[in-house]
Amino acid sequence: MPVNTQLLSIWKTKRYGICKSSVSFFIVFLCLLLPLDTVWSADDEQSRGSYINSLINEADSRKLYNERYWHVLLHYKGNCFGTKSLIDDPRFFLAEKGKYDPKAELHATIRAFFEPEREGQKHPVCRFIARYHWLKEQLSIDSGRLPVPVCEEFNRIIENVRPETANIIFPTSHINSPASMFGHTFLTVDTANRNKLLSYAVNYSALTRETFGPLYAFKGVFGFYKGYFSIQPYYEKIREYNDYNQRDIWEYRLNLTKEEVKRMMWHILELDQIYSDYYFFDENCSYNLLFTLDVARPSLNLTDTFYSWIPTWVIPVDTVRSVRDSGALDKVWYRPSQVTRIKHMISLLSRREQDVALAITDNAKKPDVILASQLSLQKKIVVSDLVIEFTKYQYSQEEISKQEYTKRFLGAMRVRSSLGSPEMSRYDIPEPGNPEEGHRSSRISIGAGVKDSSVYQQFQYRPAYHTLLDPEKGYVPGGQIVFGNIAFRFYDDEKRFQVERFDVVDIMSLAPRDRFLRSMSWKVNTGFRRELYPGKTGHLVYGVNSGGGVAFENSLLGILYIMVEPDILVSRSLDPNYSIGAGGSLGILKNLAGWWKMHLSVKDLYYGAGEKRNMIKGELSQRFSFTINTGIVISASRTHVSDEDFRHGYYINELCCEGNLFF
Amino acid sequence: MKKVVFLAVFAFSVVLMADAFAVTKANTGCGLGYVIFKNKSGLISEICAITTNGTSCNQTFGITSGTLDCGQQSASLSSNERVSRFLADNLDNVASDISRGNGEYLNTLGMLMGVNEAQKSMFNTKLQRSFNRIFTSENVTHTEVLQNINNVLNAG
Repeated sequence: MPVNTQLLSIWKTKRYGICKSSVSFFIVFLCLLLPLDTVWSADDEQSRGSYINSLINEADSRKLYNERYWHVLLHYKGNCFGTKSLIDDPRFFLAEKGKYDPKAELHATIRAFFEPEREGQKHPVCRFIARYHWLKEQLSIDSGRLPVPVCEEFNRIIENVRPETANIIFPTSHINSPASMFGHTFLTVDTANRNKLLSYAVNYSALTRETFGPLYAFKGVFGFYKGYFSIQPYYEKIREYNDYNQRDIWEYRLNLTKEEVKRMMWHILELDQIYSDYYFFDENCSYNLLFTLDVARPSLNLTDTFYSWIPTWVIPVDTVRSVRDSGALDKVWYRPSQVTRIKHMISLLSRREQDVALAITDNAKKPDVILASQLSLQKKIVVSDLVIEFTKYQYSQEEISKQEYTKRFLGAMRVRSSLGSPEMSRYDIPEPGNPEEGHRSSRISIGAGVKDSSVYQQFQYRPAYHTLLDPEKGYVPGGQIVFGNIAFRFYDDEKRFQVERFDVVDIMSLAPRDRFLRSMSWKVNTGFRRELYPGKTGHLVYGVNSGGGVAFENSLLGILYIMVEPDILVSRSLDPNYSIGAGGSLGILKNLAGWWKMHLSVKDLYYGAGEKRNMIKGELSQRFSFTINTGIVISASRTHVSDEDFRHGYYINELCCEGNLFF
Repeated sequence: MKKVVFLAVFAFSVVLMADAFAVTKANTGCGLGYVIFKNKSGLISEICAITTNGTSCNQTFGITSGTLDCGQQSASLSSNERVSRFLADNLDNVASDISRGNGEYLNTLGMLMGVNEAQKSMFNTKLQRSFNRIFTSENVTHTEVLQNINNVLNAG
């Protein structure tokens, strides 16, 4: 806020109050000396002053500062300590304590509208245009009495942009990238030409250059990054998510009216270059977008749905579900990623036909070989299209140099253009399950089992998100992300209640390889679990396990994976206090029917450091679904544990049956 | 004070980063393969918001943020410049669509060039047939591509 105005308002409020004589006289003196852009006559100023006061008085008598819409505009949320705005940038507030004081902020805002225009600075009528329009309507402010009655800049924007509708865009996760796990949401605003590529993407995200994973995670969780709104053409976002990050995108059109979209844009412009501390769990990309929707249509009430006094977790797909539940969703489009399109084209080709493409992409043969091949016109076209897309993919993954890229890219496009027949390049990519129709994000399980003739009951709670055995619809196949899963058991015979396990994180990424896409699979999990050692009962140890390997997809076996893995266990009950092992696992994951999925796995680990042992475990788990959000899982496992020389070994058998509910 | 210093250092390093990209790329118009890496860490657009004057990345409606290092700094909305900017930002996808004779990028190009619904099919086919005259070499720039497209359309 410019110095003069600040001083001027301090002066005004102190006019009838206790006068800190020397200071305020000095301030008054200074104000009179400082140049003002417009010279007000004493009368003008007095009548303006009393008009302002009458507006403030009316606002106060109607308690506008308590109105929900005022709180939505300022992002105020209440908790046991009082009211606070979630916005952290002081430039968003006109009152000194505006972040905590809706009333003071309202007063300061009204006053600010009457400020004179200043060279090179946005006038408050423009800077806080959403507030302006609301207060103007509520208080019937006579715009004739304002120095800046209308925001010309905004009118120009509307004229150029001609906004019509808005969409929520949901890029789903990428199988190999932890940062993308929960997906992301941003908005687009469609213009009169209804062209999606040219629509405006409005995105809230944290500003970071961090590449070191754990530090990025820590800072993002605890609010060490600043979040900003940014606006760019949607085609840039498509390039980022669809092409470079290989993520499918779902576009959900909202049924907002033109007037509502305009209100939304007012607020987005108010947030231009204003930061908020970014918190990965609650005040994240998806949550902050909801404010713009609530401003557009307050009856949506989305920000209250997700806010609570205790920190909760705002998962992007849940915000899409809320928008759907509030009746604002209109239509859905699926935009497959480049890899999805590549995989589809590969599926249309026989092995021999794929060979032609591989000759070019793997062995650097010229694309002209397509023309020389014996394939039909249609197959020649599919192979050319595949080579074009796959070449772009190889370049974006830095597998080929720019020179190789442009040469092969141009060559393949020349071949394709010579084949004509544009209609043969239309591919009907099958649409996978809509993410917001997938199972809900949290899960509880209640069941019973028997472990080596000891019967137990078990209760599990998982805040998020999805395991390999859960219903796949709407989730990335082969992906598993679990946060904070905790299991409690009660053993009947010993009347023993215990924590069975606590998974801090458990992530698995099975990315099937094919002749073109040579993806790697990996996993990482850490948490407390019960491990069996010769001569000891199951102790709770803290473990870190990770693994890397490969996966293949097969119509008979489903997904088959092989991994090598280290395992590190730490516990006071171990002698010495740790145990480090290495080994491998092998598994098959298969959908036997829409409602029935099976996971068969074998794991063999040799712990050669610390407390030594050998362990081999076979497990078969099956999930039967009743609805998308309910089902049962039956697991059977057999473990053999022995010491380092394979002596004193014994078997432990376990069978467990649990009912699951997603909510 | 610390914040100012931090911002200045940050902005300076952003400029440095931008410079690093600029050094390795051609400056006289952008060509094939130019922009594919641009959002490598998804940060460029996010960084834009914090540069000290905020205008170098055109952060508001009606002004698309184009590939600034292609020399397209103006915020003008003349239709010619819109076509040029769209081409500069999406050359590879436009090229592959033209070679196929269909696609969203080709349709958008047509729309920006004023091609109406009835003429669309003819426009697409004509460009596909003239692919070699439009994309004349591996190092063709977006300005040359636009010129070539106009030549092809004017040749009838």
